[in-house]
Amino acid sequence: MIFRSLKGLRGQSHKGVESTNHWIIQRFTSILLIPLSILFVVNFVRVFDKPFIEVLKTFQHPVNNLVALLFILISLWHYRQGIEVVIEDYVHDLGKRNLTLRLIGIMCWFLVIVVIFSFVTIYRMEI
Amino acid sequence: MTQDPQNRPLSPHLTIYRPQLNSVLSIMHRITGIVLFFGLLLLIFWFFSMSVGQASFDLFSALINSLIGKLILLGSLCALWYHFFTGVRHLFWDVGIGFGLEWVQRSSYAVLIATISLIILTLLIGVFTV
Repeated sequence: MIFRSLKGLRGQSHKGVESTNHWIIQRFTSILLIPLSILFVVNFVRVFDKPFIEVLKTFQHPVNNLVALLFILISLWHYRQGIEVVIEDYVHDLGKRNLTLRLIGIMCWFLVIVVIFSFVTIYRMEI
Repeated sequence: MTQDPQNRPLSPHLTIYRPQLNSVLSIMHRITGIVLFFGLLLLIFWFFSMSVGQASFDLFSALINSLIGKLILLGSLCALWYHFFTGVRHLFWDVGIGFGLEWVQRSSYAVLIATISLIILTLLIGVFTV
């Protein structure tokens, strides 16, 4: 219902399309994070104080590995969407605003590379 | 009433707004969202240290299992479940459910109760896992 009325807003202006999509994708990541947070947190609280081998074995299991990887990547994406809205609300100087948004974008992509590297390495590690 | 266009009141209006349960919960949703980034960063470091090898993992594990480390994890856990439930409430609002003042008041208490319950539940799962 609400999505159909939002679609009517699309295409009115370039800015309008962008903001509407931003809003919809933010809800999309929120919904994905509902099951992912539950699954990941339950896994994490059970192993965070365990020795290396045990933690490694847990996250070498394909399901646990994928859940943790998706939880972290989608959280990063969701964080970026959220912080963009916060910055748009509170940073009124357009130059500063755009610079901050760009720096956050670069930082997030850097973290995405670190995370994917870590998870592939963990998955392929030999005990 | 004319105002200098350069000097309009812009958000945040927090300093001139009388705090109420709903407004406090709302701003806390933002604050926990921002703070949770540091928990996420800690998690990324944890997995990165694991991928480097046992020596670096043991070092980082000792750090997060110290008293200060555990307090940071506990804080992140509380912030996570709080943000989770206020977020779910936002999703209901987004599809137009629960807007009446009475329902907002009720869901505020529901959010707080759910948050505290999930914090206790996850702590119990953590403690009673052998």
